[in-house]
Amino acid sequence: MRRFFYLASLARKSAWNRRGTLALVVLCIALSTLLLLGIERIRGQIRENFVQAVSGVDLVAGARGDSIQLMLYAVFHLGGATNNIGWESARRIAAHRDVAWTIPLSLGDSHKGHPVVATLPDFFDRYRFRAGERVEFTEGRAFDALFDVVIGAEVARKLGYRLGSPLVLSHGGGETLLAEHGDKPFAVTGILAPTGTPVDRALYISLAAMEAIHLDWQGGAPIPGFQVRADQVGKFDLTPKSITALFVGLKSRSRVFALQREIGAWKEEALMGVMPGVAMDRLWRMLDTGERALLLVSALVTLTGLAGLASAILAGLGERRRELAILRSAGARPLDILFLLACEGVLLVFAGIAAGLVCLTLLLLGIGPMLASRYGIVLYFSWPGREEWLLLGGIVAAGFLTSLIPAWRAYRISLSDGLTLST
Amino acid sequence: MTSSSAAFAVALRDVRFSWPGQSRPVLDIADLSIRPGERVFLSGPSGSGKSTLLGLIAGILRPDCGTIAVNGTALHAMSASARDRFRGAEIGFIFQQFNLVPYLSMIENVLIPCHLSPRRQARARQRASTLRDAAAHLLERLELAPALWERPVTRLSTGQQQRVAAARALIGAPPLLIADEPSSALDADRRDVFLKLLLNECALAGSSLLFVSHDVGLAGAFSTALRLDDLNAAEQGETV
Repeated sequence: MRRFFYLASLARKSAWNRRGTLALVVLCIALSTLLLLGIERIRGQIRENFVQAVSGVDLVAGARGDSIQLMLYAVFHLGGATNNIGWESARRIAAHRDVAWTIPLSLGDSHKGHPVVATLPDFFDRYRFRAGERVEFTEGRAFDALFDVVIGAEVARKLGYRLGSPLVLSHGGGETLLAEHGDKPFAVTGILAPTGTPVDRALYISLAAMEAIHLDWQGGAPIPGFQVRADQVGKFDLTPKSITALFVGLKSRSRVFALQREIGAWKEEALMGVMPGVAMDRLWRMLDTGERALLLVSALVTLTGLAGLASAILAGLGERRRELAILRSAGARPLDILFLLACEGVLLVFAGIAAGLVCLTLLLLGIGPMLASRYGIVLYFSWPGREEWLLLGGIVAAGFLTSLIPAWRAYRISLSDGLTLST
Repeated sequence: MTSSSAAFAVALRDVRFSWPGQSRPVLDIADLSIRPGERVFLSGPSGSGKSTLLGLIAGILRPDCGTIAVNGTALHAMSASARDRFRGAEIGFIFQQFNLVPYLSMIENVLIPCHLSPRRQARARQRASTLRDAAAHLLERLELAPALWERPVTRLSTGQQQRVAAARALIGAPPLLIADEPSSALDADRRDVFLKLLLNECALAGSSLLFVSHDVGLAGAFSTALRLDDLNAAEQGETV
């Protein structure tokens, strides 16, 4: 045992002696580690942000169709519009004995490419993301007056809006100037804190406001010769006729399957209930291949680093044959030589991993707050998780195996050289 | 093991050795005996199989047939790793040049055998309170000043390096010292100083010395002078 400690100390001194050459190898391994762990950590965070973009919602009810499409549209405001569901159905679901609360969502309009979500002020109290975190206001409050709008953090940052800023919504995706609701401008009453969810990119108005700006519209265009001025809308019934989707919270989660079946079997209207977690997981698995490719690339980078390690040690062996013969003459076995060289390789791998972890930590501490405040992506400084330990273990194992290449070469050299140096 | 071989520091009987894949032996030695404490000068032209013979005595190589005993231990019957262990414990080795591990200090170079062989370490401790002291005594007697001890060994002169190598071979008083042309890289003055110091220390440690050199002028300082050509019955490549 003491012999192995001695050989390990020799390996350390030998590596230190050639630190100029080996520093580059260590740097390579450090960068590989940084890349591998960094990507894994960001991947995990993005996954968490994605899958938990909405939490605490037991069911999302919408028109019958593709569940993924409904989730993409209702939660991420992406993709094509799904069919609407009637207000009457929404009210009946809300009145169901198992249902604790509902939040209706109505989509379709936009503002400079950002989706506009019409909902109830309850939305800001009920909406949860990640591990039950709430939406916070950095400034202002929820919409109250008819033409109030609450904007997400990214909208505020990108467009430079502050409280009271006036803005005009576009009909649909806002592709043409004609389709603007220019006669009914909104004013910002609240700005939300960054969440790292689609909330950051959206604008929120009341359902009544959505109704109001479309009073004089039909089929995606203003009705010719008919205009309702902003000060006249109060005279109309602003109850929505239909909505896009309904977030449903249950009194007891165990009733979720029963309600899902019940909604699916609705006779009056073709509806469906989607469990967000299940749909998000399905969605994530579709997107995850790209992430996995990234991980594969960084694994290849790691292999490149390790190949550099093997070649650096191999290249040094030629001038170390003397040293190996000296150790042999003093009683070292060929297996000791093997151990010495393998030890040196593993030592370099550990040094590289340590340097990589330090870099990662500094990076997280350095850019973490910026990421959190601008994008709501919270990259915690934390000890490596299970997956990350597996990755680190993988690097060490691969490093050990790679180190065996020069170690085996040294073993052969010490067997054939013996005490003489064949020149 | 016969009682006759037990009385010798080195005893080779009817040893033949050929390199793998070659039918003709490079060494064929009927009898080579070195008595305990004897100082043997072995000479021979290059290519005569000197290094091969040293490899056999040091237990690096194994003979095709015959017996090799060092201090009464039959090397030819031992496993490779047992021979390695034996070498670490019982044999000190000095090379022609480049004897030092570049990343270790002078003291650390001297102590290498003590770390690889517990028996060597135990014997070194018998003579000094610490291993470092044991190394220091040797270095002092070999006229290497303490100021040099922690300096990088790569800055030492060849003569100094060979004396460090001698200290490493001598630490823990191995019964047999093998020196393979240890003085051929030195100029005449330094060679004489080195030889004197080495012979003194061998006498102090009670070690037998097998000194290989092509410099026949040195033979006078030894109790026995042998020529490998006289010992070796194998035909040499160039004479065929």
